Amino acid sequence: MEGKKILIIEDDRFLGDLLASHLKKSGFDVDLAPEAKTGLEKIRESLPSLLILDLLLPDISGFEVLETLKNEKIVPGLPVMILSNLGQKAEIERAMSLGASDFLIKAHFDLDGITSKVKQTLEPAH
Amino acid sequence: MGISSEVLGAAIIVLGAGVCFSIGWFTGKRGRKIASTPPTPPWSAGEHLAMILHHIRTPLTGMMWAVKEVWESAPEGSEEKAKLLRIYDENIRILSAVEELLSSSRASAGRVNYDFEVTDTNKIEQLILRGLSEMSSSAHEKNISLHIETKPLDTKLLKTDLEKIMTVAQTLFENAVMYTNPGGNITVLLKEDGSYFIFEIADSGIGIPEKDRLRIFTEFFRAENAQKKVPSSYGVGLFLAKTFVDAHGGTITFAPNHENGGNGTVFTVKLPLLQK
Repeated sequence: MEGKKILIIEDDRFLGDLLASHLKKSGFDVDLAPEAKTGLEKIRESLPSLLILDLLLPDISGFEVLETLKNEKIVPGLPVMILSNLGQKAEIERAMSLGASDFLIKAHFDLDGITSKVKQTLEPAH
Repeated sequence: MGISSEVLGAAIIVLGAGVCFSIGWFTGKRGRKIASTPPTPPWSAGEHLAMILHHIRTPLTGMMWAVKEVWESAPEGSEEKAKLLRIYDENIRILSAVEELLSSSRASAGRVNYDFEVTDTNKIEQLILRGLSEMSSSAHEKNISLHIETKPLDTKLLKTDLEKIMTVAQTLFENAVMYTNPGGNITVLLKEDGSYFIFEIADSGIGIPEKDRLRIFTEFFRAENAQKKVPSSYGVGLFLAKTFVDAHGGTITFAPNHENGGNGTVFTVKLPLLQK
């Protein structure tokens, strides 16, 4: 996992910092964007190995981020893990249809669980 | 890794936000998030509450993550570690309450998503029995006798959202355990009558006072004797159960249970079978 770059788009600083710190301890190179537009700029500048994306963001929603990435043909090449406290069936289906590779409900996971999912995504079983 | 007082401090502040939440805090500082969230304003009270509850989950989640991390690094057997575990458990309890209230506010706003599928009576029976088996320890802890009766079911089809029906069964069972005194009994009956799949949960509990019976399925309503017995509940379980059963075209009813001279309640859920 050494050197794999993960971008987190998460406006809640507390959550974002906790997750970034945990992933860094697991050896990932982690960058954090507190809003969608900054996150999109970072992706265009340097493509990460994985995007962890919140859905409710202050500027544009995570769904719109997915749409933009899909239109720019960055998705499906870039795996996008949704990490949100939304999680109704319609929201999950919408995100998956826009190209998300996974959908995690924040309150149902701890940091170790999210890190395991990240590892599975970046290093699929042979 | 040593214990970070900074992280622990932040976690405790967030716990404060979760326990004593101020609507002003969420509609002010946190309210900015609302712009990108369906449905479009103006919202009903239920939708507004759902949004507030949704936002409460975020700091609670952060606290859960932080406390677990700090707990893992606390010295084994220390008082500190025990307190952190208590904080973690309390956080989970608040989070569960928020989830329950969120489901209720969605239901009152008419925003429940259903995932209906055609299934058969045997499958639903198996799922309910498995669920009861997993929950039965709570009855055993109170020395409550649990009897489960299944009448042989002809395999018939019905259209259900299994998760919602399991929630209904869980709510009725948990209520039965909660309001039945130690040494009492609970009987669960599963059957079908050609038109309906039926499950009944009968307890020897405290019963529902006559004056409260008309409002028992109303959101946030709690019968007087239930409030006295369990002050810390919210009165949303039966409201949700009725909402879910109604969406299936079924019925949920209750009646006094005078079996063995008791004073309990029997709840009956009927779900319509698909007719050929």
